[in-house]
Amino acid sequence: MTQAETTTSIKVFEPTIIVFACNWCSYAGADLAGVSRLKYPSNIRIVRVMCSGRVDPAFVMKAFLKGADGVMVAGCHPGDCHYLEGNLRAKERIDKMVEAMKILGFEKDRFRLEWISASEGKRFAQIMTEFTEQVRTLGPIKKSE
Amino acid sequence: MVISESPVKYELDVKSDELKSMLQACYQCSSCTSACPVRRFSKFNPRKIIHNYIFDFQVTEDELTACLTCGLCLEVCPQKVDFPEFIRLSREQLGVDEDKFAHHNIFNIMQVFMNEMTDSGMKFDYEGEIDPESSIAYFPGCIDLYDKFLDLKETSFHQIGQSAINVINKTGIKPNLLSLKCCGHDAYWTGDMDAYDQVREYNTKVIKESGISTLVVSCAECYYSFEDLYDLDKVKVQHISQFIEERQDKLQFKEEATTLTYHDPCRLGRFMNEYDSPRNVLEATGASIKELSSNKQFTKCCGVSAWLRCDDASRAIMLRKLEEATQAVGEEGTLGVACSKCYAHLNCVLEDKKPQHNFKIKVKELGMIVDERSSSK
Repeated sequence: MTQAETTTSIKVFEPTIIVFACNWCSYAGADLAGVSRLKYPSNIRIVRVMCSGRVDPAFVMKAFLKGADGVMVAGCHPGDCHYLEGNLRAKERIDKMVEAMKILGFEKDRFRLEWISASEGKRFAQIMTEFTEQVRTLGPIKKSE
Repeated sequence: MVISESPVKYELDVKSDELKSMLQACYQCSSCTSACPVRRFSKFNPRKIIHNYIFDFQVTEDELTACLTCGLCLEVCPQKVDFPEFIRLSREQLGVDEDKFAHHNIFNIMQVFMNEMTDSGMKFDYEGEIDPESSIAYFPGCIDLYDKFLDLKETSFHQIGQSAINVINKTGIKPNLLSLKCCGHDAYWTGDMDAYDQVREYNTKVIKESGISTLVVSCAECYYSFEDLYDLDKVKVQHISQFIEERQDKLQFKEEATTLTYHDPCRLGRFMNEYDSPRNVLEATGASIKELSSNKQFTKCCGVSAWLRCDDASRAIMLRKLEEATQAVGEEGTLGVACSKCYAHLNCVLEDKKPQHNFKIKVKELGMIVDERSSSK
């Protein structure tokens, strides 16, 4: 990083992105992307959860408070959930959270809910690249002070 | 008395000497403990806490978070020992652990989020006539957020704000809908003074710059915070019940008679000494009020305060409240409350239904009752 800084004077903003990935689909999707040697940005930090339904809105809000520039929740496709309906519950809960963020006046582009299955390594890499670029254009998360 | 494991040592001097001398005025008569609604269902013992503090400067974390700060102990205390204030100061100095908050701490996080992540107040979406130039403003509070994070199927919190705006419109006034941040009541009472100071500064600035003369609020906690904790100079803060009482001649009420009972929220009753306005308003709507067995300054709290620790004792207190209300107005009756928080907690336990309980009573907010039973003249 320091070497890159000295050689190129332009500093590109590198966002920090937290991805809550479900153990059965999205995390396996990330694995597949890895073993298939697909490239995706190193900005993402994956937190493995047993099901996307485990992700409480409080986790997402807290990630932002602790300095994440973007947060994504990734689970199995509807109908494919290992626990039958965990991802549907996640969707219900997360949709309400997005509405709450709107009430608070927070940019909702910094957050995404995606369904990525275990066979979609390519899609995983593609979505991560896309989301990283999206957050990069939004710039660092600003703390009002 | 079970001595809780791992007592947190409370080493600090209490900031105000006044409070210290006040605590020492306690002669251990145990009036507080016998009145305490938490004591009814757990081993929580205010007398013992004061005793431990005076002699050992010790208080356990369990004791710190179990108190509802409802102020009933202060009401019955012959020596006027301000126990809630003591608890608040202790929380401020020792801090409250995150996992002690109910609902995964979401409301506390939300408050910090509001401070640190956004530059503006909450954005509201209400129907009705709203005039940004009006000298009378209405602030619904954080009720819209309850809708998003409390998993209640049959309870609408948005309706509290909508009803209040409807009633204000019926009196011929177009209110200004003020976009403020949360009033900071919960941060204040859980000792998070940084968060509280930030919202207070922001809200005070917005209220003063908006040039309003009266601020109407639905929630008893908002009313207490804006009126008692904030310094708003000339801006008059009114609870929705006081606002309606002043203008009840502009409203036409339904003729059919009804009976209901009314629960005094601690922040409106004991803290702000407002017992009559809500009763007058409810009576003006044609309802006859059957009082709860403990009412006015001796009302028992609804069970949770500042989203802290919704445990078995809290639920027992809530169920006791529903039982009391059922005894007063019967199975199909209505319990009126004047605080969004009481409305939330009591409806939350009410939606549990069987096998937890079998109460059929309805809990309604004062503004909603008035809106249902009135039309403009």
